[in-house]
Amino acid sequence: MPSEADALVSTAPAGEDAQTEFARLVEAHWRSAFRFAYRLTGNADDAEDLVQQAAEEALRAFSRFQPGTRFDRWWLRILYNSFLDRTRRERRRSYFPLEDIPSPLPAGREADPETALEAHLDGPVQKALDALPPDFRAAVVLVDLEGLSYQEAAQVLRCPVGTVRSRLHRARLALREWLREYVDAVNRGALG
Amino acid sequence: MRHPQDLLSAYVDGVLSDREAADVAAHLAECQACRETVADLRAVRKLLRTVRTPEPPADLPARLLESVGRTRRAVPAGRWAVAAAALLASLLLAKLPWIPAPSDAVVRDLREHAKASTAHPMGDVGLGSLLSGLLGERGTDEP
Repeated sequence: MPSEADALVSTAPAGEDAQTEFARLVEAHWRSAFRFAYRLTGNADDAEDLVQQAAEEALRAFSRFQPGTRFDRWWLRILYNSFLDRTRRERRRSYFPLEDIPSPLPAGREADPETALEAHLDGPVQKALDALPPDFRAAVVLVDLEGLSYQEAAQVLRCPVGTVRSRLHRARLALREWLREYVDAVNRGALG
Repeated sequence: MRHPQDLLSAYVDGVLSDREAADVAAHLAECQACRETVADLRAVRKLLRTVRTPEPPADLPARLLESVGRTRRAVPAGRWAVAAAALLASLLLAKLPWIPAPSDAVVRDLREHAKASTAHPMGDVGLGSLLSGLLGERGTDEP
């Protein structure tokens, strides 16, 4: 998120200024919050809902935000916790245990992988992401899609760096199996 | 070195220590299976980077701020005047040394006014004239 890097560090929030400051920070970071939420939930409506909830919770907790630290990480952490709460409450989806990786991808086969790569990659990749357990998906989204370092992802996910590393690795191995055809196509040079 | 399975993703990401990275590279030179895994992991990473997130609705930040109870522009100037007047009134009631103690009648008026301005936050003309009256009184005390 380098384009947002200049607006990242906040000044001290206090009193009436805190709300103005909060508004400024939300305006600076809502895009990355939405991206994270979208990839966690898999659709725009739920993502918006989640961002909204996270904004409300962040405002309530804003007095505990430490000035000089990264607001975006702090907000994403709140967003992630809200997301985990939801998945625990709803349990709408069933997740595949990573030890028991199904193959091929249960979401259904797309057309010829070579041509599908150009136009329809989003579908299969998002389906594969959705099939990951939430904490594994979050690691992949933060590191592989958002470009965070392992350390930064560990801050958001509130876990040790080693946990990020192992979740990321196991998630990628699962994605490799689920997206086997596409992986092979990439290895043959399909994506350049 | 046995298969450094759990290090391969970190190797692909370039986050291993120099020592670990050298060990993995040495192993890869001799191990076809691990080389294939590394190639696959790179491919997975590449696939993941192709996904796009749809453009979020442009009015989302406005709705976010509205939903959390405010927008930056929504604080009416009048509320600042009320807050300042309330502060002044409380200072007067506290009989701070740098302001001469108001007479009982003035204190009573101020108390009344404090209640009224809480009930009617938009109108604060009364307090203004009361305060200027008070300051005028103070002026006459001085030689």
